[in-house]
Amino acid sequence: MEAVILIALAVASQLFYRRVLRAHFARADLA
Amino acid sequence: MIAAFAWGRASSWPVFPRWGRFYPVSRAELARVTFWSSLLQNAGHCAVTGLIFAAGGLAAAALAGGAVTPDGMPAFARALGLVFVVLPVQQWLRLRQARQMEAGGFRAATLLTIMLSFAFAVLVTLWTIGYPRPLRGSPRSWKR
Repeated sequence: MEAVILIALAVASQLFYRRVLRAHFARADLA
Repeated sequence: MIAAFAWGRASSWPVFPRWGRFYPVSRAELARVTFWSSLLQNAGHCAVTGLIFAAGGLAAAALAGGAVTPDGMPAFARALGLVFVVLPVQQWLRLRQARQMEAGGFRAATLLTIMLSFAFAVLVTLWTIGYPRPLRGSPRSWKR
């Protein structure tokens, strides 16, 4: 049960992180 | 000289199948590469830390003459799994802080939140391996 909760939290967190990175690189000054 | 040599080689060797595929990289690709590489790096760190913890536990058990068995490994593995939950949030906070600093503003609340999240992660890890146990109770209860 704990493992299932942990995995669900990790997946949700990683999806959130992917969104964060996409937003970051969309507005980042890459020059 | 070594760095110049390496840099020259790196720029002229066909390291990747098609160099143009990787440079220039689009913003979406950059985000994707960063995501997967950070996932790989976190997994690698978890693997190394877990192996060190397991080796330490096995060494302690061997030094005790097999009188004790190493426990707390599943708990420590679960604590390591928290890396994949906590680090994205910390990175989000960190990027937020960087943006605020670029805008010319230092916010103590953001820095405090980052420090508190670090403290939370460290405390959870220590608690999971039973660190505060010797701090509770009397010395008589320290040995199980």
